[in-house]
Amino acid sequence: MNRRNFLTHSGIMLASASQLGWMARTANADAQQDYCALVCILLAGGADSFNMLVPSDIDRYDQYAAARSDLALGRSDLLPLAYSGAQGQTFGVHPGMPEVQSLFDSGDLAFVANVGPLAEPTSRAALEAGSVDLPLGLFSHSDQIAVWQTSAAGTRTTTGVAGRMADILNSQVNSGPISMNISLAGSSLFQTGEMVTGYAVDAAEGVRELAGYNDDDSNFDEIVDRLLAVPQTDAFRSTYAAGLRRSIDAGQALNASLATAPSLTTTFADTPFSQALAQIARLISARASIGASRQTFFITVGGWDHHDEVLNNQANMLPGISQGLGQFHAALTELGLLDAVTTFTISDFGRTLTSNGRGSDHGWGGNQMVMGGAVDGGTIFGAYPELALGGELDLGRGRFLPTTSTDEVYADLALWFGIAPGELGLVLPNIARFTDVSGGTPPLGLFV
Amino acid sequence: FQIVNDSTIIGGVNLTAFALFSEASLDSPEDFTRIVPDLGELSVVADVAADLLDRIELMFFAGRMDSATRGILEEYARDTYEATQDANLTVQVVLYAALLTPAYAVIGEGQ
Repeated sequence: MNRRNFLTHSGIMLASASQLGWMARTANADAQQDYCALVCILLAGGADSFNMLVPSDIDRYDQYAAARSDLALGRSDLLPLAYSGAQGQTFGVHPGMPEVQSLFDSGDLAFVANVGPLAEPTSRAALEAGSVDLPLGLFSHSDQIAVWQTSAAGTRTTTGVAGRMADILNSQVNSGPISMNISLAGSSLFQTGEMVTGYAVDAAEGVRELAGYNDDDSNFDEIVDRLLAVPQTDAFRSTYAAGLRRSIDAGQALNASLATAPSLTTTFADTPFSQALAQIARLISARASIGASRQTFFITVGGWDHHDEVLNNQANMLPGISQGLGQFHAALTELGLLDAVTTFTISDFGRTLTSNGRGSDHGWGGNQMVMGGAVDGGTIFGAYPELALGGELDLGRGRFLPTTSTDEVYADLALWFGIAPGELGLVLPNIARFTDVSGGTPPLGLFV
Repeated sequence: FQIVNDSTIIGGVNLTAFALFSEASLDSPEDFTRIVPDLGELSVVADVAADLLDRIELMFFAGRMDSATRGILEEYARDTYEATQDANLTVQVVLYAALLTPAYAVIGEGQ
C-alpha cells in the first residue's frame, strides 16, 4: 500500500481470481432463464398527479378546470392519449411528458387511477361515521411515504412489501452474496424484510469499494479482515462489523459482475433520475453473474411537495421523469428484457384539486404509472374520479378517497413477480380485506 | 430506520482515507479534501509501535481500545515501519485501519 494507491483508488477494482471463480459458477446457473424485476420510483413529497393524467373530453375537462382554477393545464396543451373509455372519456398527459404519452400509446405503460393506502374498503359515509379503520397519519408525508412502502395501512411496521417478498423468495432466486433488493436511495423501508435487507448502491457513483482494499502490494486486506473478525459483545459494534464486512464483500462482487456486463448503447441524460435508472440498467445487465433471477430496485425522486408554484415546478420536473422512463424503456429493449422488468411509481399522496392560491396541498388518492412490456399498457386501471368538487369521493378541497388500494396494486405486482397466491397474505397482510386472491387472479389485471 | 447502509458505511470510511492521504489536494473542489491532518505528534513515535498505539488509543478511543484490536494494529504498525522506515506513512495507514474498526465506530467500554 502507498499514497498513490489510496489516492487513486476510485472504487472500481479488477476482479480477484476468487471472484472470477464465483462469477463463473453463478453464470452457469442459468439464473437469467426466468428473470424478472420490479423498479419502484418514489416521487417523494406527494406528486400532484391530477395534473399528470387529466380528463380531456369536454365535459370532464370543464369539471377539472373549474375545480383546479389557476392550477389547471390548458386543454389544448395536454398530450392526448390513445384511449377512449366506455362512455367516451378521453385523457391527456401533462405537456412535459411526451415519452409517457408514447409509451402509453404503444402499450407499454398504464396508469392506475385514484390509488392510495386504505386499511379496508372505505366509503365516504363510513369514514364520516368513524366506522372504518383508516391509514395511520393520513395527509402526513412521513406516514404516507411509509404506508405506501409497507402497504400495511393501519399499523406501523418495520418491513416493506419488497422486503417481505424477499423473505419468501431470496433463497430460491438469489445465489450470490448481494441482496435481491437493491436501493439507489439509501436504506428503504420498501425493501426491508424480517430476514432480508436491501443492498444500497450510490445512485451517482454506483458501487463503492473500500479505499485501499484489494491493493496487491500491501497486507491491508488481511489487517482489515482480522479487525472486522474481532469478536464483539456490543450489539452496535457487532452490527457495524457485519455491515462493513458485507459491504466490502458485496461491493467487490458486484463490481466484478458489472465488469463483465455488456455495455449499453442507450444514452441516459445527465440527471440524477436518469443516471439512477442507468445504474439499474447496468445492474440488471449483470444479473447472471450477480446470480439473481428476481430483483427489486428502489429510487427516490424528491421535491414534489408543491404547495407553491405547482405549474412551474411540474413543468420543470415532469419532463425529467418522462425522459428517464423513455430512456430506461429503451435500455430494457436493448437488453431484451422489456417483458421482464416492471417499473412503477408511488408517491406520498395525491394533492388537493383546489388551489391554495399558488399550489396544492396534501391529499390522498392519486394517479400512478406502471411501465413494462408485460403490462397491459394503454389502459387506465381503477376508477378515475369525477373531479367535481363535493362529489361522493371528495373529502373536501378535492381530496379524493382512493377507489383502488395500494394492496390491490401490489397484489398484481407480487403475483407477477412470483409470489404464490397462498403466500400473498404474508406480503400484503390486508389483501383479504379487498379481494380474494386465493385462486391467483390478480385484482386489477395489470399484466397481459 | 437505518442511518448507515452499504454505500454510506463505505463512504464514511473512505472519507477518512481521503482526509488522511490528501495532503496535496488543496485545489480539490471537495471541501473535505481540504482537511490536512497534522500527524506530527503521532509520527514522532511511529518507530515504536506500542507508543504509537498508546497515543492513538488515547486520542481516538478515549483510552478504551479492546486488546484484540490493539494487538492487530500494533503488529500492523511494527510491520509497516520496518518495511518502509516511513514514519508518516506508518501513521497514515495505521490510523486509517484504526478508524475503520468497530471499536472506533462505536466508542464504548473496552473489551
